[in-house]
Amino acid sequence: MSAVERVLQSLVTSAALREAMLGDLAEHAAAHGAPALWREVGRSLPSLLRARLLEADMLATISLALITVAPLLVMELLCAYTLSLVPLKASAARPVWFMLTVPLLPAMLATVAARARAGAPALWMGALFPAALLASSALPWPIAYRAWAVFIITFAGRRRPRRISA
Amino acid sequence: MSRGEFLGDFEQLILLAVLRLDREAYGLGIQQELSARAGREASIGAIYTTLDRLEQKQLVRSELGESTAERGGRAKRIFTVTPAGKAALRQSIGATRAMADGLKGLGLA
Repeated sequence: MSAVERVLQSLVTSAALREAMLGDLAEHAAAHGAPALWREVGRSLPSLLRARLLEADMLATISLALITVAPLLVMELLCAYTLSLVPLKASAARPVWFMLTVPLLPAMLATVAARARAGAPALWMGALFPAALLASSALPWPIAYRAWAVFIITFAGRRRPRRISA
Repeated sequence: MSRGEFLGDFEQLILLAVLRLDREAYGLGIQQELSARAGREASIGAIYTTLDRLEQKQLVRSELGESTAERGGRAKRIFTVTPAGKAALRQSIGATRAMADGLKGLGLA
């Protein structure tokens, strides 16, 4: 399977539309060359991502994100309050925040598993996951939490059954 | 399409392109038509996501067309505008015309 096919398989859930797009992209590449093909794929990404996001059941997705993130935010606030009572230097508190990001690991795994169950390949999600984890340890803690939340909101959720003509 | 629900600008252009291209209305053809006539450089992804939305609204329908070697053996998906699509287009263009009608300074008259 080519890289373009993998990208489209992750973003376009309708097999009929995906096949039509792949055919059009192949025709475009035959006429203008491989760089034009990737340019076209790149230009298409925002629309495809937006459509994929809208296609997911938004209420279920947002609920899942809130259920996942809300308890962690509460824990974060409690820890912030507790730490504020102890006279620590800012650098001493940092490992504590890193420890707090670890509970998000099962949440992210659950998200990826939910996606995989829905039938989409989770390969690129698997690559994104450790990248996001690494990023969260490097960023200040509030940003890390919000990044996780955005990630979950964007990619989790069930799929609506699709009606395909012809 | 319910009364008062209008097509978006891009949806309108796509429907017009599908009507113009007749039996040649597939993704790449629509993209070229939009570029040539409307000067709109839309991506294949934007065109297909819009066509998919229009199909869900039953304003267009699609069927499989020919497959060629240069398409990697994949068939074209040919789109046609449904009667509901034509009605929506008439309503939408009519509303735009009604709003623009009699306006001076636009250089339309």
